[in-house]
Amino acid sequence: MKTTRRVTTVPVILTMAVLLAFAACDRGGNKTRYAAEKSLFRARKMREELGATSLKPEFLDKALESYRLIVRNYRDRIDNIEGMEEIIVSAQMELAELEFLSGMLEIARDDFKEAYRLARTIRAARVNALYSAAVISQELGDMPGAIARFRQFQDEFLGQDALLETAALNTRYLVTPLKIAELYQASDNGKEADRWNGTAVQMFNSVIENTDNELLAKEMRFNVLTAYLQGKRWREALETIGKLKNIYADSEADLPPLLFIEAKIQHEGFSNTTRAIELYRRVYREYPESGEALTALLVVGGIRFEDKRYNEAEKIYRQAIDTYGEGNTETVEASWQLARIAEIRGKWLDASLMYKSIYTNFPGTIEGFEAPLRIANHFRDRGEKDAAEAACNTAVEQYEKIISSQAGEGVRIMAEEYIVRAFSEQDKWHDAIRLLLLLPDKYPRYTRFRENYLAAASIYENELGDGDAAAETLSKCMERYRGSNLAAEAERQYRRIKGPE
Amino acid sequence: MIVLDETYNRAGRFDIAASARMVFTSFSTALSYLQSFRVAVPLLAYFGLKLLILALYLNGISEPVSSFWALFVRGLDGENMSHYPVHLIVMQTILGRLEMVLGIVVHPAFQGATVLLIASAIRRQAPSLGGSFRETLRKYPRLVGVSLIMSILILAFVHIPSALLGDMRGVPGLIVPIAAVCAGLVVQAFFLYAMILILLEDRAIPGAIGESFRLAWNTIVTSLLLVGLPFILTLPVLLLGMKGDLIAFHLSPDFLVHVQIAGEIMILISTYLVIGGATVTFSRKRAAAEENRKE
Repeated sequence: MKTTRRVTTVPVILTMAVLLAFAACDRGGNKTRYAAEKSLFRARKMREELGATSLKPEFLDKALESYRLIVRNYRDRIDNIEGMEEIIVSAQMELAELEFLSGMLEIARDDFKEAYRLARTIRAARVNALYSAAVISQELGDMPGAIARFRQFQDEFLGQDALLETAALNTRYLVTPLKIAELYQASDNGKEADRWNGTAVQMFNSVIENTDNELLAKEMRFNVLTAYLQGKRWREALETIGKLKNIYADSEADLPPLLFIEAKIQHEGFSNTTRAIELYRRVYREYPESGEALTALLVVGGIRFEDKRYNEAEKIYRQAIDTYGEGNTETVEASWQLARIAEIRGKWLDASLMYKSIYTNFPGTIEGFEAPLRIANHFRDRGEKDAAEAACNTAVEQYEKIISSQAGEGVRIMAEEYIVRAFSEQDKWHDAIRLLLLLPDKYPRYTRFRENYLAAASIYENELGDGDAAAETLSKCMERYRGSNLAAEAERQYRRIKGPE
Repeated sequence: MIVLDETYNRAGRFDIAASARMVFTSFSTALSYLQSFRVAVPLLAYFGLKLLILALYLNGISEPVSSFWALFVRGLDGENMSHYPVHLIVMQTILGRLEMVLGIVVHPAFQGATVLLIASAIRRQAPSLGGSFRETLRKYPRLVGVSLIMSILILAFVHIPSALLGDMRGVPGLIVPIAAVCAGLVVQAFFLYAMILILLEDRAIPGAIGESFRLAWNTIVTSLLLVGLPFILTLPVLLLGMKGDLIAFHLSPDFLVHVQIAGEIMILISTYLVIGGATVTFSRKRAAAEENRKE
């Protein structure tokens, strides 16, 4: 009996053991790939949880490190194991995106470049990575770097053979030549800017000729118009608008913007105000429900205001408020202009009531931000110091109310900037400096605040005459943002202040 | 000699209090037999087998093993199976379906041995592991036959509520699964004594099923409690398992392995309680009937 038991149990146990050993082998690298997938899943989970903690540094570091570990641990297997390239490239791309969201722009740019290098066979990832690196370079103010990357992108992914394939991934990639033109324009190289605008037009026309996708063709036609507008080629822009009006004659959605742009070209391109006003009027009379109607009305009001025809301007602004309602964030500009007209006519009480109404009812708008300072500046310009100080304090209180509200981060950042401005306009330089230097830590993702160090140093040097404090501020900036363009500029200013020593 | 308890003699068919007393007495008696470790060995061996299968599954992410597991889920192939976290999310479905097959073909051997070991303990005889397995294997085809018939009926009855009520408007969402579970438990209750009858009275399949139905009907509340109460033990893990996707994405897919193991432990305990409780109840009912006949 014991023999029988052994005869039946032993083979069963042996079979299971063999099966287990067989299954445990890492044939084809599946186990390694599985482990990498697990690590990527965990890294993504950490990234999701990070969103809930508003990118707190301790959690952010862990999330970033979890992505870096994946790339470090598995990159040497990228060619040996099927599916490993997708995992590593995904980890690298997500790492770069997270760094970008956290305001670590230089590192994000470098990691996107690394993702581009790693993604040898994954075209979509190469496209996205290179484009993102170029955009971040532009964001960092690194014009030569941005131009080089966008040009590389153009050569590799927007050649004749690759154009439609790239468009299928995302049509925004096709504006690359426009971006290059814009960058050359910003670098005062008008000749190259013109050349690239021309390249853009050729490329868009090529897509229009070779695609069956009507939506893509339409987008390219409007891109051609954008290229002419960017290059200030007004005649070609008007011709293009004429063609588009014919093609989309039956489209109520497309005609108002085309008329609006045509009016803008007449006004800003040819200084033909009469024709411009005619066209703006067509927009708001024939298409009053369109998105451009109110803007067209306000532009006409603005033209009359600039021409000092205040009665007509007032009539137009009141028409805007009556037609589109006062409780509308777009008509706040009309309310603002009416307040300015009252101020120009010497009716300060009416004007101040309108300004107060604007900042009370529309605190998150540009006009809502400007209104409190306008009141303070009115008293400052009349030499009424006490009234100006009280109005400035009211302005700061208003901005602090916005900061502590549920408003979005963009609005709160603007409120912080206006507090700095309020302090500056009242010569409260120390308060302005204190706030400037607090803001980079308070809003780490808003990279523009890094430049506050330069602004603070400038105030120390020019307003307070304290070169040593300016140099110290610049030296803190150099230390904190070592290796960046900002640190290079800070060093340049530092050397200038410190002199030849 | 079987110790008689008046409870077993007197409990009427619908006497809930008496039935509940009988059931708890059976459970506690069955649990007391675990003092002899051999009584637990067959079900522990089956539990070990399930853990081994789980280990095979967790390690089975390469071909051809992954293709084998993929057979249990429509639309899945070996390639999909080998990725994280899909591999863990579908684990409960795959192992659940494999369990259905094992439950018909393999589990009866271990359940049968347990019945015989408990019966020996009831008779105050030393339980013999080898003897129990030999006897079970001798009657194995009949045990598998009953198990197969019961499984088919459970499947059929579980689907009846959803077929009848599923498309009806105004039926609250929970009613259908609750009705399905109750239907399954009722079928299980009626088949509760079939395996015991085959093993202890050497009945043929039709006779075992018929007598089991009669016994179950005569002690309907007792029989329902014997299957229902152990089932409640497995409910928490069962419900947790139904939220596999939620657990995978909100906690961790690896937690599903813990849920699976916890489920196996609860099934082990609940199976022993059902078998032990049923065997004790059956034996004592038979003894009571014998006594009544003598009187």
